[in-house]
Amino acid sequence: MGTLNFSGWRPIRIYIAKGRVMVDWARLMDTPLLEPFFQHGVQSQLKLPFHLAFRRQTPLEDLLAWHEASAGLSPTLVIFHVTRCGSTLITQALGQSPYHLQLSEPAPVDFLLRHALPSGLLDEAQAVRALRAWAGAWAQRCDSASPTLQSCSIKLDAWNTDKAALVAQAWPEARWVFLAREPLSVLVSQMRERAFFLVPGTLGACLDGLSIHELASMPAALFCARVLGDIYAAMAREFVPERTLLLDHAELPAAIETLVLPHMRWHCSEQDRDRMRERCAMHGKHPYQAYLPDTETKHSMASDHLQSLAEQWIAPHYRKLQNLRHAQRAAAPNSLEEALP
Amino acid sequence: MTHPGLSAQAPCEGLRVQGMRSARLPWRFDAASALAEAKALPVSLWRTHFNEGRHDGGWQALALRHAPAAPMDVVPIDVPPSGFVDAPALEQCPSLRAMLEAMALPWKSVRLMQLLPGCEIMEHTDAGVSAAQGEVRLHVPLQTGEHVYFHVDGERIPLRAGECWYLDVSRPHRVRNRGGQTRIHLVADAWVDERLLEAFRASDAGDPLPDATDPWSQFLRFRDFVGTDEEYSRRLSAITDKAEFVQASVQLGHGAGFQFEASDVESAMKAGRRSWMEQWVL
Repeated sequence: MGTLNFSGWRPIRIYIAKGRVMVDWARLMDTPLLEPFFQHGVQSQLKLPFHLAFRRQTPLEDLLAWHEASAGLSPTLVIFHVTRCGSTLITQALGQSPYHLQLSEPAPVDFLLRHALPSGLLDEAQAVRALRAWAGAWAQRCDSASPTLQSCSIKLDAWNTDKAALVAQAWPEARWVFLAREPLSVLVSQMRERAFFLVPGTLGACLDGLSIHELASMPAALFCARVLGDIYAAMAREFVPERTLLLDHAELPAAIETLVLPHMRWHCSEQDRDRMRERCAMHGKHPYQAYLPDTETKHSMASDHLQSLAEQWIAPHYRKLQNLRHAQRAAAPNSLEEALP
Repeated sequence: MTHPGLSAQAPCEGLRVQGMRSARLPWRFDAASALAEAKALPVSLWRTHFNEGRHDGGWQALALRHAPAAPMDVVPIDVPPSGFVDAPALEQCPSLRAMLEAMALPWKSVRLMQLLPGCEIMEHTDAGVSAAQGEVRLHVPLQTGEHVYFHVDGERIPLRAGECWYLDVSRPHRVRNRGGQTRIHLVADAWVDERLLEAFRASDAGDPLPDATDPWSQFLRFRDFVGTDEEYSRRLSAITDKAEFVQASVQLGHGAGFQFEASDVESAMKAGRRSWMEQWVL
């Protein structure tokens, strides 16, 4: 193996430099990332001067070779979602167990799903290998005194729902959760505090048939409704009953224990379950704030215009998802457990 | 020297050179006669560089073309080329004038800059002076050497006497003169025009300088070494205080045979923070 030893080093970033795909590694050892998002978890570690000055920057090939030498766990669960729907609460709950690794919206996965292929530097097979190697490099322990990893979840960015086929290739044995929420609440939430990807241009030409110029001149609410509608539509289109648990925001938090844990075939301890329940009493993205249901408030804030946009661009896809979900629940609730290897 | 009509030109097509951090442009000059002219100028014309927080006293500038509106003749203020006039010193330097005329760009501030032996310009950025933003800073080394270390974004630029270089100084850069003689450059700012874009198309990366003695390169080798050495990694990662960490890195580095300085560790920390933060810059 020579000097190829990345034990304790974690790939925090994948990027392109001088026409090559590169990996930025930090020696984070087994320190768990507890923050609601991968980016913030890594950033809080970078306070240590060593992590700033002594990172390792290597070609992607080294990450692939490290995967050969030390594979790590494959993700047990991949979470797809429509934003503002409780997905962070799921990863935060799972992350309460020291035996679970949660990776929430990691930028390197977005890079491999969305940037790598258009860059022309990787083909699909290489992107798939890189996805596996990246997750594997995180989902392993370097210290035998650390709690053994039993499972790993990756929550994707909402806009990557249409990359489900690539995700299926990368982790064929992973179970999926598709999490949706009634559209008006999601649209109101985004109009109140808009995520970057709902600013025209940040995802490129993300609406079929429209130029960047047309996107930029589109009214904000219409743009949000159309992009969100596309995410819901992708979810309805990519639904694979054998691997996918369709969930709705209204079923949270109880469904984490009753549906998600069985779906990911993880028999976690009572102690871990207690911790998860405790976490679920708090806000998903703000762990120190108690969670208060806000759907009614959100609806009361919606103008007639916003309601009609939600109805026109998102609701038809949401209704389809609802029908699929009801059909899935009506079938034997445990049928999913045996479908995949 | 005049450029009639240039003030009407807008900076153009900056995006074509976005991401280019350095380029050796196709112009070559007789450095010897220009150097003789520079050395013959009265010592009283040299000013200690105004960016005093970012050097150790050995960085000096002399105005050849300046903006009368500027508070000091060597300060490159942000006005169009029409706001600049030749300084009296340029009258005494026909070779330097010929260089500027040969390049024929819409010049703004033009200065001679020297860095005394043993002295250092600490890492800094010059906001907005970047081809991608329509303005360039060109360097023509008149006197330099293999022990002058000029880095842009952690990359050593192989500047040799008589060559003409574009350096993206909006990126972090630093210079160390570890040689025995003063480093003297002609430093000329210009607006990006078609002629300059043509020069960019004909540019190259220069001929590499030997890097065995380059302190930054020594640090990078030490970093690779630490990356694969459990004991060094453990000892350095246990330190939480920044100053203590810098000092320990230099000491451990020297102990392992790597000759770099505290400023290299500090640059590495800044680069490490920057590379993480810049991934979200649109």
